[in-house]
Amino acid sequence: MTGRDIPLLVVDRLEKSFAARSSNPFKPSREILRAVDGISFTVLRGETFGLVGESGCGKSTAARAILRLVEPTGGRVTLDGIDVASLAAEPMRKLRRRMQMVFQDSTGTLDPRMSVRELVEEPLIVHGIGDAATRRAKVDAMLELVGIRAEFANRRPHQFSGGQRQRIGIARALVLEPELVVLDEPISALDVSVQAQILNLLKDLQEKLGVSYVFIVHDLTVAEFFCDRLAVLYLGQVMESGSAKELFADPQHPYTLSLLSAVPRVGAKTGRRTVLEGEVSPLGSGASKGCVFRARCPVGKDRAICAEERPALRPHGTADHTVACHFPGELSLAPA
Amino acid sequence: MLRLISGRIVTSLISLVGASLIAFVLLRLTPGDPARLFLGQFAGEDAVQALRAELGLNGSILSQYWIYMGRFLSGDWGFSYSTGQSVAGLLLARFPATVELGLFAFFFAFVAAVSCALVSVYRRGPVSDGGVRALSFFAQGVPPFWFGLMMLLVFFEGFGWLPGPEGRLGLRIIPPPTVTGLLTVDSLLAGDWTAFKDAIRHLILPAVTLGLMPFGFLYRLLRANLEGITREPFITVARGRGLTRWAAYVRHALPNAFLPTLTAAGLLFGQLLAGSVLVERVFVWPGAGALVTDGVLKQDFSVVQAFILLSAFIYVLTSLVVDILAAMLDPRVAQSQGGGR
Amino acid sequence: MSSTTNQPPLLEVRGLTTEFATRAGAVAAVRDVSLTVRRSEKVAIVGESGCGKSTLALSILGLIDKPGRIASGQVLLEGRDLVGLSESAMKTIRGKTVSLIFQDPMGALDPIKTVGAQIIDTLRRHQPGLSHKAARARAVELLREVEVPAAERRLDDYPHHYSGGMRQRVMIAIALANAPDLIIADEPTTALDVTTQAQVLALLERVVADHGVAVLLITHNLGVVAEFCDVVQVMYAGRIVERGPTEAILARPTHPYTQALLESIPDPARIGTRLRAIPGMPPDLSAMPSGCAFEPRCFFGHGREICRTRQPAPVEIETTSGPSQVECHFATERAARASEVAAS
Repeated sequence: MTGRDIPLLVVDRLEKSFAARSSNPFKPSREILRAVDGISFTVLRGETFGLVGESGCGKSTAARAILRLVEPTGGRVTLDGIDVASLAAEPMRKLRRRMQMVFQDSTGTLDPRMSVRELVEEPLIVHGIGDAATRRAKVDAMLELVGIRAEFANRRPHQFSGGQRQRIGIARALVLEPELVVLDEPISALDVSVQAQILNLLKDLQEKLGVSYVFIVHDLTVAEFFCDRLAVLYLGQVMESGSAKELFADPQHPYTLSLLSAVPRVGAKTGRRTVLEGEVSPLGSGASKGCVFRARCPVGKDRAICAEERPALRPHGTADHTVACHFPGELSLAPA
Repeated sequence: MLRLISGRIVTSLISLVGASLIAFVLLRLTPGDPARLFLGQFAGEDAVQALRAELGLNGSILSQYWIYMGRFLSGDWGFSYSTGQSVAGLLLARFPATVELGLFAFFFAFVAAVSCALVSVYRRGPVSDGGVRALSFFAQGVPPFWFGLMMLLVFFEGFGWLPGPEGRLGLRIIPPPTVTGLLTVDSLLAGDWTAFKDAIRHLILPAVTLGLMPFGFLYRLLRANLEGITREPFITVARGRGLTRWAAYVRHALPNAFLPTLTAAGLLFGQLLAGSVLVERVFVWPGAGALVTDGVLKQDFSVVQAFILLSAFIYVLTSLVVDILAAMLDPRVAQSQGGGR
Repeated sequence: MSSTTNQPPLLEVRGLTTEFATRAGAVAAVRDVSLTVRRSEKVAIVGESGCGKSTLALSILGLIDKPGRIASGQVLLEGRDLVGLSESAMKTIRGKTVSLIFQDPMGALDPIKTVGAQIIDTLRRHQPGLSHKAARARAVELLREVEVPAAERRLDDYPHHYSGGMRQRVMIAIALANAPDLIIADEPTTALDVTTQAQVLALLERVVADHGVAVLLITHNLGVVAEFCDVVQVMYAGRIVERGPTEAILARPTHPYTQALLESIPDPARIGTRLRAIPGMPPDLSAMPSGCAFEPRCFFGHGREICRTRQPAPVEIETTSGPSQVECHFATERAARASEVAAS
């Protein structure tokens, strides 16, 4: 059951929609905002799967729906064969030990009155793990692992820097020895040099503990460097997914390509930039057919099929690389 | 915007009904039989029963409420047995004095709070900071009647700059013909400059006394908001556009700092309009406050009842006005409340 | 880029030190900084949070309030010293000769005034003769120039009706309103999504070129520096530790801090390897090391006697694209070694 090739997490056509706020309290709106609109992917044991996209693409909502921090409105999520959505409260609570989350801003998740040791011990107490002595041993080991020196364990969160607080947040998530950790933009509030420290730490911990990561990230450079496989999201849908290597070397979807070319890079001052027009904005509910990206798409803006038919995710080349585009590969990174 | 206003009016009406119902029931539950009180302890039981029937006191509380409200809306506010006058006449004669004092007190509190907050945040020095903070603590802590007496001692007894406790006008001043009941407005309407000046001079001490506590409260609230707003990037950006620091504070920080205090200011305003018994006593101000304390002591229900209803109405009206004002001043409220654009 | 005239440079900062009074005494956030911006030049100040780059920007504009103060130094704008000028003297300079673009997490525009009102106010403040009607027409033109769609209608919208990218366009319009010589842009694209960031940077690049405006760009993003700026100044703990032509410095950094910063950016070419993180944290400004501020974290100089005890003086280095200056005791040695490596 625990072979490496059997997926740990299977997300199948996950949906989460919200009723858009109505302007009239007596007339509820029928406008539905599809934050997550049929996302599917699998995460293997010990790998990092990235969910990449700009703000409003649904990546954070997807992460929360996977952990059932928000209730999904459709689709299935299974962790190690267990259907997460159908669990009752108590078994769900037990399952949470196996799937944890690290947030962008740990400061908000750390009670300022508790010491670091108490903060890291708290999840163990909540899940009734071990007696006081074993818990203490576990906490000390975990703190050492994330690089917080034992003599600082009695300090409060505000006495640490942002990077150190993120280490504490990671220790809190990992002390339960989860199999899956969802990392929601864990480094985007940090300085570049500190980002590197945290990324290195996460990589080391994965090697030591064999944990799988779902990595929510907007920074493509980081995604490319850190993820084994990833999915590029736009308005709640997967535009393209595959191994990081292939996706960045040979992007097929115009959106992936535009995203890649938009990143300012050191040592790559070229004229290959595709500047997208407009901004991410959900289409009205009447426009549910067709491709969600078409309004900004340099390829399909004026093409009939893009307005009529929503493109399915189709394999491209290798079985793992899939693209949701009627005209994959038409836009390319090579200078025109 | 229209939808917002109509929605607010509906909720205002609901809260008015609720407030009047609660006030009515509470008063009816207090011991004491109005009919017995009215007729005195030597009246026969038959007479009391007859009066009870006539006043509708034998029905259920709800039916009594219904009858009372019906009469109240048609202008019949009942009869004050302790003075032998109609309640409507009594209250309407005295309410304008309370309202005028409340308006001036609020005006003082508001202007003083805004200027003190602006200056102390602008100066940012420990001296102006400490000084104004001490003043605001004093303002919120000092008992108003004592402060009123001290003001009289200094400005009337001591310097003789302002009139003593003799009500709204000096004895030798002929009151202007009543139009609004507010002497300052009526004297202006009549073109009577002497009466206007005298009315203002009589208002200063009681208004400052009454406005002192609201001033302290508003000042602290405004100051805290202003401190926060002046650290916002748009203040720096405004200065980067070419405004001096003072101009950026007055034109951009102040309006933004004022918005969140609007609700509190409205409540204070309502409170001031409802009058202050002690301050009115000290300055012999012929307002509604004294009338109502007398009413409570003498268990003159109809006076108390009508006064509570009137105050509730003023409260609901000010909060309605405040909400509409907030929606007009803050573009974000209008949108989030469904005003749309 | 080289100026051959005897005119003074557009902006020259000399030995600027900005301090903040704290309970523990005065703490210098900017320490003895000198820099030059010539006409139409794009200069970057790059560094991590807390290095003093924003304080430097605000000091130049005279926007440091109590408990902060400029302790020493000069800010020469076309030869005229701005330090110590009164608010009423500065108000004719800010928004006219020098304008400011700020990072925008919703906060850079007054939320209860319309976008149009804020543009028009900026115009009429510096052009008193301008009628309201003419100012309004000019504001529409400005919004069109920064590519805000339906400019005429959107003029009467409030900032919260604008998206983040559109608000940053408005900021650029305000900055351009009175044809300034210099725009100081503090993290102008940091809060934006990548595709929006690309749009805003492209726009800024175009208008700056069209109007010949010089830009002082404050950022932590080396990628943005690489794409946008001619000259880069790397700031660490309140000082500029390395400066020179962008291309040369980013390709072959001499200061160990610049090198470490560049290497801590994930590079796809090194996937599977560990990132080069800079250990530790920037020094506490109230307890600065006595020698080089970077010594405790430096992979090159950590523990060396001279680095621990003596503050390094700037060293001139000749690069392929012009001279650079590096504050490191081993600058010459490191530069020589780097060019050897490049040659082989």
